[in-house]
Amino acid sequence: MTRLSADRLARQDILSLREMSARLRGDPTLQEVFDLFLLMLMGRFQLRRIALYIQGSEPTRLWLFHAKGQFPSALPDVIESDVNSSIQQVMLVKDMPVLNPGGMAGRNNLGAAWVLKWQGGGQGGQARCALVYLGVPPDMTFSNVDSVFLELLSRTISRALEGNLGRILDRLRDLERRGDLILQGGAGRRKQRLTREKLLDSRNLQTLQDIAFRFKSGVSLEDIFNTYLLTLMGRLRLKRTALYVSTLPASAYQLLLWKGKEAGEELPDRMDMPDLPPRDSLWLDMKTFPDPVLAGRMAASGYSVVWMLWRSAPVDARGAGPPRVSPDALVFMGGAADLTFQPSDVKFMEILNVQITNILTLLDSMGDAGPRPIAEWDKNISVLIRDRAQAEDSLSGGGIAHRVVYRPSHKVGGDFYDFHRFADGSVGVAVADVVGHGIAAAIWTSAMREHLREIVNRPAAGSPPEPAWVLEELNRVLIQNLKNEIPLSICYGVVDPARNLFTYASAGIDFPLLIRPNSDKIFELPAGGLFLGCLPDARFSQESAPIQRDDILLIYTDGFQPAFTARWRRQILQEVQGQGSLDSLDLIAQQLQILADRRMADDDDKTAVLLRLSSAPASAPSDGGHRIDLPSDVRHLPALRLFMDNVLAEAVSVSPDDYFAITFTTEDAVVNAIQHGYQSVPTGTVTIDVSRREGRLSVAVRDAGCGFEFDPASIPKFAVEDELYRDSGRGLYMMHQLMDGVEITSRPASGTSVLLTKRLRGDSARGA
Amino acid sequence: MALDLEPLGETSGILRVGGDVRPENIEGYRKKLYEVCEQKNYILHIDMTGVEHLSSWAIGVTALAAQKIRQNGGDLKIYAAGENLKRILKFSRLEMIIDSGGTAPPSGS
Repeated sequence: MTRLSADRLARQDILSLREMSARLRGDPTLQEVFDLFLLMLMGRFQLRRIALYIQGSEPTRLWLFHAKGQFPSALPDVIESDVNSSIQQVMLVKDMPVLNPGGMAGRNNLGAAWVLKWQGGGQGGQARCALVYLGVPPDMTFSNVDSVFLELLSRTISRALEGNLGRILDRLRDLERRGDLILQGGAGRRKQRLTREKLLDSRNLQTLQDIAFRFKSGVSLEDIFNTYLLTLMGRLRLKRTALYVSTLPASAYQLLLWKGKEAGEELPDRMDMPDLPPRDSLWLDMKTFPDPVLAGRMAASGYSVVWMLWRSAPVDARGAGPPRVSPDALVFMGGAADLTFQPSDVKFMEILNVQITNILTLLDSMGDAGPRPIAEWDKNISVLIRDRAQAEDSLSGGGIAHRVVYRPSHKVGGDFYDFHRFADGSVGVAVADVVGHGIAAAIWTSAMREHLREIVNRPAAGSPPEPAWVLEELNRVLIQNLKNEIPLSICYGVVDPARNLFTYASAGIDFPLLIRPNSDKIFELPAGGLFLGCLPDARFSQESAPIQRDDILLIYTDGFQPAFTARWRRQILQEVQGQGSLDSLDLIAQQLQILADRRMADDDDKTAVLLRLSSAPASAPSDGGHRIDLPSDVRHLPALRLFMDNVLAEAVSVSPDDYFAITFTTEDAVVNAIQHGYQSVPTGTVTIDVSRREGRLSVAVRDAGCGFEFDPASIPKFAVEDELYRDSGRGLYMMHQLMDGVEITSRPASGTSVLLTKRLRGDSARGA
Repeated sequence: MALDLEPLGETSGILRVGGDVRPENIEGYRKKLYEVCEQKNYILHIDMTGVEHLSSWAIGVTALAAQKIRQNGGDLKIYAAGENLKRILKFSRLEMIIDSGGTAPPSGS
């Protein structure tokens, strides 16, 4: 399966799981939950039959709860099977006789069984099991993508079964009444209690996402403002709202829309407001309104608060920058009594306003006049045209040159990028891709960009923050949303001009590229993790890559991926050879722009950010270290291999034999850390540091796992026949055979450190 | 990794591995090998065409499989190993217990 196919399958899986999660959010019966569950599996794996057995009060006794498809023979209602002895989640029936009691699985061509476990409902709920028999061939193999899908599906179902549904199962004495089970009372699907604030936060995002979906098929300006006002009224329980939009002259506002019950006098069609406060005051009540006469009139009409929408760029806090401009719109709001806002209300309005004003910003002028008063627009006109890449003021003068190429596939897009400057001069860069296109995705990207900015600016974040931590925090935001249905792929990195370092983490996005003009290849910078918003405890590997003065970093979304063929990469390298560094940056940006403007059959948003240090010394590749942090999961080993590939490609004296020795033993040391240090639990971190000095390469592999009492005498020598048939110990043995130095430091409960050293002997670079 | 078992008769067969055996995909390799090794008097030929890498874990699994199959009266052989794989078999000393220099068995053997 090609990488692209596996990625597409993974994306389809995620969308399917999201749809399933959404359908489980009502008050489903147990029947509905398991119906959906089994149908999902049947569709995914093209099964002819599937059967679900659930553990009863006796742990070895399972009851047939649900089955679908056609079976060659009758399924028994009850089977005796010790599922607790199962060692893996999915097993082939022929490997585990315990799964085939009385031959029932064999007779019915059920080749595999999947153990589903969840915690029963309520305090002290018991661990429960179910067996799902899959109608697959007896020698079926499950790919990595299949395994990830099953894990995610397992979690989705487990969440649905915790709480009230699980309590019902716990009380079951007679499964024959399974079809009559109806959920009683409210479903407490989440184990943790939600505070009112958290619930309102979740509803904020849910409401904003509802808006996003409403705009899927295109939107007019009138739609935007109608939705805006109705959303405010619903969310804040307003009786009435009135929207005044900017017109000419700049201090004038014209009534565009009003909704709700009008009380008292009619609203003025127009108002002139020259003395509105500066941008940092986003709302006013009528008591502080600068025009007391108008304030009195609006108050008499039942409006007590006005919220100001600013479309234009903010004024710089130091007073530099563009002069204060008038708000683009005034939103008068009235409720049953004087309005007061909770922090969550304010947060909601801020995010909603950012979303709306971002859309307004994207509206191009009808000609070349630039931003115009909103009243000048035809309110029936559709949102149009794309956002052209703008130079980011935050990077100017910071020792980093950059270019951005951005082209949404529709009028607006689901990609976004952002820059964050930190006190030490480093710069954070984010490139992200929301699954989807058009207005829906564009609105969601606004919310995500705001959350990302909030995260990196937290006091606890550190300055600069660790990229992997940033992704984990953003993932937590997405997971906590009750109705999160839009996964996000993202790369977040920090460019440090002082240390010539790029530290980054990515989730579900193509690897960033390092273009070194005088090299013969473009390096991929590996670091990986699943899309954000899929798993609550997702981990992300973080890597640091040294960068030199002429190096160009290219971070991009998958809209560009089909065009980045091997031929294109060779062509880019040829073209930048011998160019000045800034010329190279422009040249690559031009090439990307050509690709972006080229329409493809399966068109997607395209975003590419190019970065180059403008002041780093043009030195030879340093002997400075490279580091990668990997979650303790063998599925991240491909990232390790690419990391080692890139590191060793920089060293000019690595022979094929040295390459084999270093990569083989490093991977073994990492696998040992995962399997023995962390017992294959994926919540740990394995750190790999590679450095080169005086012709000697060192690899240090460290974990904070359980450690052990290391005795060098215990390393097998594989000298006698009995030892030669051992299934363990070869890794350590081969380290000592292949490397010039092996130092292992470990103590129980204190983690393990393995230092491997190799004197580099070869004069030629590693062969292709 | 394909892991295709082609029977050559009732008591022999070719296991075509088809790709590298690494920690991420070793379970299938292990299961297939151990399943075959349970059979009595079975001669298993492992076709390593296209295999550039065996992790040390996979090496250990292969060694144990060889022991099991021989205890059951059969044998295990490797063929079509490339240079990279031969280097691994040499440094791991697996070549001391498993013949890896042979050729593909004739069909029906």
